[in-house]
Amino acid sequence: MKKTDEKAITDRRSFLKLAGAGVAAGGAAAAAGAPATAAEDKSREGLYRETDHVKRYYELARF
Amino acid sequence: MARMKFLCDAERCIECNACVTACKNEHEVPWGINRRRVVTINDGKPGERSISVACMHCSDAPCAAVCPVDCFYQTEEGVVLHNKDLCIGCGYCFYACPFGAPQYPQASNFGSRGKMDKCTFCAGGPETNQDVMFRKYGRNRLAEGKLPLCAEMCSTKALLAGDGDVVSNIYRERVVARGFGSGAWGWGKAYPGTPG
Amino acid sequence: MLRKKANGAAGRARLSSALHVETHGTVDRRAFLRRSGLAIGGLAAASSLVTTRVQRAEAQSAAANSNVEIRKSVCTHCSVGCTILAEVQNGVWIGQEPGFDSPLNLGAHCAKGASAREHAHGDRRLKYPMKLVAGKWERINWDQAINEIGDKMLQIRQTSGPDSVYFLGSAKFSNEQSYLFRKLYAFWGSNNGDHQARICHSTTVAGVAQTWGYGAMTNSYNDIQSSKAIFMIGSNAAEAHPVSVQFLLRAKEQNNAPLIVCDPRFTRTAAHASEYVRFRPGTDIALIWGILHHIFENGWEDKDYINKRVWGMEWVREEVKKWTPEEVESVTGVPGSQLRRVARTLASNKPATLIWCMGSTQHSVGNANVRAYCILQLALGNIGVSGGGANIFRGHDNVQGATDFGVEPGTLPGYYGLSEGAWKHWSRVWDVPYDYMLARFKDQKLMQAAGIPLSRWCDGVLEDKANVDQPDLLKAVFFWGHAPNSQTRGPDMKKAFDKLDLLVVVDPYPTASAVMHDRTDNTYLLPAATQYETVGSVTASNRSLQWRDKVFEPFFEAKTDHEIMYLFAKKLGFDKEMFKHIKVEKNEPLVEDITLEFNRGMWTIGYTGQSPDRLKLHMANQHTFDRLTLKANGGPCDGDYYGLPWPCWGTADMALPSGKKGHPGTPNLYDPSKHVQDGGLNFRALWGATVKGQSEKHTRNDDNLDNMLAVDSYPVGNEIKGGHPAVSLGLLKKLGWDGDLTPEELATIQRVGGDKADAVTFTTDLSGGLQRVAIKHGLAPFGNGKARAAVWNFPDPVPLHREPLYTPRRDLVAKYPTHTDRKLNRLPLLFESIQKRDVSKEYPIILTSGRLVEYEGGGDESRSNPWLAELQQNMFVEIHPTDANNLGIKDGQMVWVEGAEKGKVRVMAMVTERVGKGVAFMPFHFAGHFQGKDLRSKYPQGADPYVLGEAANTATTYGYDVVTQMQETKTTLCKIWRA
Repeated sequence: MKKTDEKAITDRRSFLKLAGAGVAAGGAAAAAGAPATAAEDKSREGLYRETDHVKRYYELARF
Repeated sequence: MARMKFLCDAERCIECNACVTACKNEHEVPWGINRRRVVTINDGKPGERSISVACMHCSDAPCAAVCPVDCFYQTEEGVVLHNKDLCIGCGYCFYACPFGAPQYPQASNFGSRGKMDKCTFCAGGPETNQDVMFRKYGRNRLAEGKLPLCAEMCSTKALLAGDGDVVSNIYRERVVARGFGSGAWGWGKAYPGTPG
Repeated sequence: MLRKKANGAAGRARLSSALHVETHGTVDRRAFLRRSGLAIGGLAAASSLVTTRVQRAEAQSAAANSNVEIRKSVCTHCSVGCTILAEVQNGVWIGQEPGFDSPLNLGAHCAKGASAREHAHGDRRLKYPMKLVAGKWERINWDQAINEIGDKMLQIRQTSGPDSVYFLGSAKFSNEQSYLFRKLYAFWGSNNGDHQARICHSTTVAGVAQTWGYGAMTNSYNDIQSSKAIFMIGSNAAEAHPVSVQFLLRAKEQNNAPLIVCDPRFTRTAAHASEYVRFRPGTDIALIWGILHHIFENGWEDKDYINKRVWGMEWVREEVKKWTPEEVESVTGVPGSQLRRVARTLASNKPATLIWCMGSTQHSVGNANVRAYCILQLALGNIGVSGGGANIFRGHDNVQGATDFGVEPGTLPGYYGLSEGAWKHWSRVWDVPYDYMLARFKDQKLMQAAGIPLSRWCDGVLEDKANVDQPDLLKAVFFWGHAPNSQTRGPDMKKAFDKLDLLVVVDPYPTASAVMHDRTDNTYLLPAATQYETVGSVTASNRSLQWRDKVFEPFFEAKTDHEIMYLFAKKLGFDKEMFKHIKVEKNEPLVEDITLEFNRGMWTIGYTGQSPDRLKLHMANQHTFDRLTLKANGGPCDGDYYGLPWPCWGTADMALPSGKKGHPGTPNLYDPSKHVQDGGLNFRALWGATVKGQSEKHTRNDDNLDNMLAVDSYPVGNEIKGGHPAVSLGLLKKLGWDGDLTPEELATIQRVGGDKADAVTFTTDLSGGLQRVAIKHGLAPFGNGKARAAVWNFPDPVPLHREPLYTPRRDLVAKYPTHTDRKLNRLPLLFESIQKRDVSKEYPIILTSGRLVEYEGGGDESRSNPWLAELQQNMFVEIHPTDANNLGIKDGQMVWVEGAEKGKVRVMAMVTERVGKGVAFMPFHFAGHFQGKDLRSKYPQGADPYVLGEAANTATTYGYDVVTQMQETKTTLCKIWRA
C-alpha cells in the first residue's frame, strides 16, 4: 500500500489527536534538554512524548 | 495521559529474537539475564505460535503487591519500575509475576540472588546520575522521545509498544484486515478490562 | 575459562520451567537447549561485557549528549539489506537506532541485525596476524606475514604454476572488494577462485539466467506486498530472511494472499502458512510437475503469455503428462488432492510470487529444480509482472554482488565468461595489454578454461594428479572470508587441509579453518576488518546497491580486505598494472576509484550507472523512496528506484528521452508495462534469433526454424513493437539509428571494434552510446527475446526427476537414475558410480540441513557474539518421535549421527514432529568439535567463539550439481544411535 493510502487509514480522530500531541511534545522536548529530570527517587512523572520519532514508529507499525 | 503498553501480535511473531538482542544491545544486559524472551508454543506442530514476553507493566502489578520492601513504583503512564537500592533479591516478585519477567544476575541460595533486574520499558530508573542510571537500569529511551528498542526493531512489527490507545488501534486494524483476531497475547491478564 | 560452569544454572532452569507452565507445558527449541547447555561461558561473557558497558557509559557522559554522530551502514548478514544506524561518539560505537527511513527494512531487524553493535566489542576477534610454528600460534607482524606468504606463493608458482594457488573469496566483500579480488587472481594468472555463491545459489544463477537472461531475483522483497499468492519452496525465510517476512505477512493480511510453503520440514515459516506441503527431500521436480499436471489438464496456463514470450513449453508438456497424481504421490509423498488445491490456488490468485532458497539449490539436480520453478511461473504468466516473479532470496549481504563481479572460476566480472573477447574487454577497461594478461597465465587454454569450484577444492588437493586438467594439484589455499564448515565432506576436507603446502586464512575471526586440521606450520591467520570498519557498496538480493559509511576504525591490527589485496599485489609484483587507475593512499586503495572503474566495464548487467555520488545521494535521502515501489517521489533522487537496482543502464549521466539524466534502475526484471527509461524490460535475447530442435531427445519433425524473439510483446515506447536481437552498431545501422550516436561515442566503438565495429554490442561499447541510443528508441539494450522452458545446452533440457545419489527409495533408482559419471571443471565428477552402491539398509534415515535465525553461515562471527550465542548454545539433530522411539532415543540425549560416507557427529537429540518420519535435520552453523573431539584448545588464545559444536557437514556426503557443482547438502542418508 502506498504512503498516501496509509495516511487514509488513520482516521480523522487519531489524526487530530496526533496533531495535538505534537504541540505538547514540542513543549516537553524543550524542557527535556536534560532528560534525567526524575530528580528524586521514585519519580512517577511520565516521560513519554509523541515525538516525530515515535510518530514515525507508529506509522511503520501500521504499515 | 498516555498509558504505555506492550502488545505482541502472535499472528506476526516469527521468533526471530530481534527483540531479545535489541534489548541486550541497548542496555548491555549481561549473559544469563533476559529482560525479554520469545516463547514458542506447539513447537514444530501445526498451530505453532511464538510470543515475545517481558514485563507487561501491569495495571495492578502483582510484583509490587508482594514486594516485602516496596521497591516497585509505577509511573503516571503505567511503566512499572523498581529501585535496585531497595531490592533485597528475595524472589517473591518472580513467583508472583504471571509473565516470568523478573531476572536475577547471580542465583545461588535463597536470599542472595542479587538485585532483581527486569524490563524498564526503556524508561531507566530512579537515579539522577546518567552514568549510574545506565549501569543499573539501562538507557532511558522514553526521555529521549523514543520507545522501547525491542518493539522499534521488531522484524515483522509483531511486537508493538507505546500509547495503549494507539497500539490497540493498530492491532484492531490488522484484525479487521485479517477478518479474525487472536493474537494480542497476555492483554487480558496484564490490563484487565481493556479490549484486546 | 569458557568451560567453567556458571552458578546461575539453578535459577535459570527454574525460570524456563516456569515459562513452560505458562505456555501449556510445551517445550520449544530454545528452552530445550537452554536447559542443557546453560551458562557456558556465562562468567567470561559477563565480565567482558561489564567492561564495555562502562566504556559506553563513560563515552556517553564524557560529552553528554554532544557530538553523537549517526553513521549509516548495512547489515552484514543476509541479503535483505537492512540499514544499520550506528550512534558513534568519540570513535566508540555506543548505540544502534532503527533505520526507519530505509525502504528495504523500515527499521526492522532480526536477532543478528539487532546485535550488530557487538562488532565494536570484538572480544573474540582475531587481533593480529598469526602463524603456526611447530603447532603453536605465534604473533607476527603484517610485513612478515605478507613477505612469507608471498615468497611461498612465488615458489609454488615456479614449481607448480599459478593454478596451484586457490583463491577462496567471500560474499562478505563489498562490491569494490569483490571486483578487486577477481582482478587479483586474474593478475596472478589463474581462474582458480570462487566464493559462497557456489554453494548457495550457483544453480539458481545458472538455471535462471539460461531460462530468461539474468540469474537474479526478478522483483524485490517490497514488491511481494503486491502478490495475490505466495509460493515458497525450500525457503525458511522466518529464520534465514526474517525482515523480509514483514512483506509476506502484509500480503497475506492485506491481499488475503494464500501463503503456500513446500518443505520437507515444518519450518518457522511453515507455521505461518495457509497451506503446508510436506514432501520427500530431493523430489522438487516431481512436485512441480505434479502441480503443472493439474494446470495443463485444466487449461489454467496463460496461453497468450506463453505464445508471445515463452519457447519450448510443449516439451515440458510431454514430460509433465507422465506425472499423474498417483506417480507424484508415490515419488514425493504428497497426495494428489493437495496438489490440485495448490494448482487451483495459483491459477486463481494472480499474480503469484515464487520464492526459493537453499532447500532447492543445494542438490545434485539443483539447476533443474530451479528451472522447474521458472517453468511453473512462466506457465502461469507470472514473470515480468509486479506481485509475481521468481523471488530468489540470496543468503549473504553481498552474495549477489560478489557473483555479479565474477568471484568464481568460470567468468570475469559481469558474466562476460572467459573467452578471448571477454579478456580483451576487461584488458581495455583495466588499461593493460591483453598480451600482458596472457603472459600471466600458464597458457591461453588455461586462461580460457573454468577453474575448480570451491565445492571441489579438497578434490583439487587430494585427487590423483593424472585426473586433473591443470599442471599440478592445489598446493596453497586462501580462505578469505569463508568458513569451511559450510562445505560438505568434512573428513575429506580435513585431509586436504593437512596436505596443503600453505594455508592462509584472512578473516575477522579464526574460523574452523584454524583448527579442524593437524597442521603444524605454513599456516597463517590474517585479521580482516569487517564491513563496519570501511566504506563501499553492497548489492541486496533485489539488485539494489547501498553505500556503507565507516562506523569505526579497523579494530586492533585488522586491515580492510582491499588493503590486504593491495599488499599482496605489491609483494607479487603486479600492483602498478592492477592499480593503474585506482589511487592508493598509505597502502589503501581508494574505494570510490574502484567503483568508478567497474562502472566503466560492467555493461552486460548494467552496473554502469551506479556512481558513488548517486549511491551516496540515495543513502542520504532514503526517506524519499516509496516503500512499495521503491521509487523516489520528489527530492533529489526523484524518479530513481532505491539503490539503482541493476540493470541501471548507460553511464551515470546518460541523457534519457524524458530529459532526466541517468537511468533510474530496474525494480522488476522483464516487466514490459514501463518504458526502459523508467525501469521497464523484457526477456533477454540470448539464444539467437531462431533455433531448430537441437536435443536428440527432442528433435522435432518440422524443418522450420523456431523464432526465439518475442512476439507482440515489448516494453512501453519500444519503437520496433516486437522482438529484436541485442543492440550492436550493426543493428543500429540496419534501423537507421546510428546517426544518433555522438562522434565521440562512434569513435570509441570503432576503437573497440577495429575493422569489425559493426559487431560491437552493448556489452563491449565502452562509451555507453549503444545503450543510450537503444533506450532513446525504447529498446532494451540486451534485445527482446523469449524465455526458454527447455534449456538445450544443459544435460536435461527439460528438468527430469532424478533420484538423489543417496536415496532411501532404491525401487525408484532404475526408473529415475541419476546422471552418468563425467569430467567437469578440471575434475572427475561422479554420479552413477555413487548411486549404484545401495547403503539404504545401513543408513536408513534421510539427512537434511538448514539455518537457524541466530547464526549465519559457518557461524564463527555470530557464535562469537554473546548476545546471539546465548540463545543457541548446543548443536542438535531433529528426529521424528517415531524414529526416536524405534532407535531408543530420548529427547535431550546425546546421539551419534553418521553420514553414508562415515563422517560422524556427536550431537544432542531433539525429538520433534517438525521433521517427517524417516528424516533428520541438523543446522550447519556449528564448528569447533570434530567427530566427538572438542577443538577449543586449538584456537588462538582469546579468539575461540563462545559456542562450539559439531559441524553438520562432517556427516554430509558426495554429490554435486551437473552444471555448477553445487554441493548436495539437503538429501543424503545417515544412521543415528545413542552416544
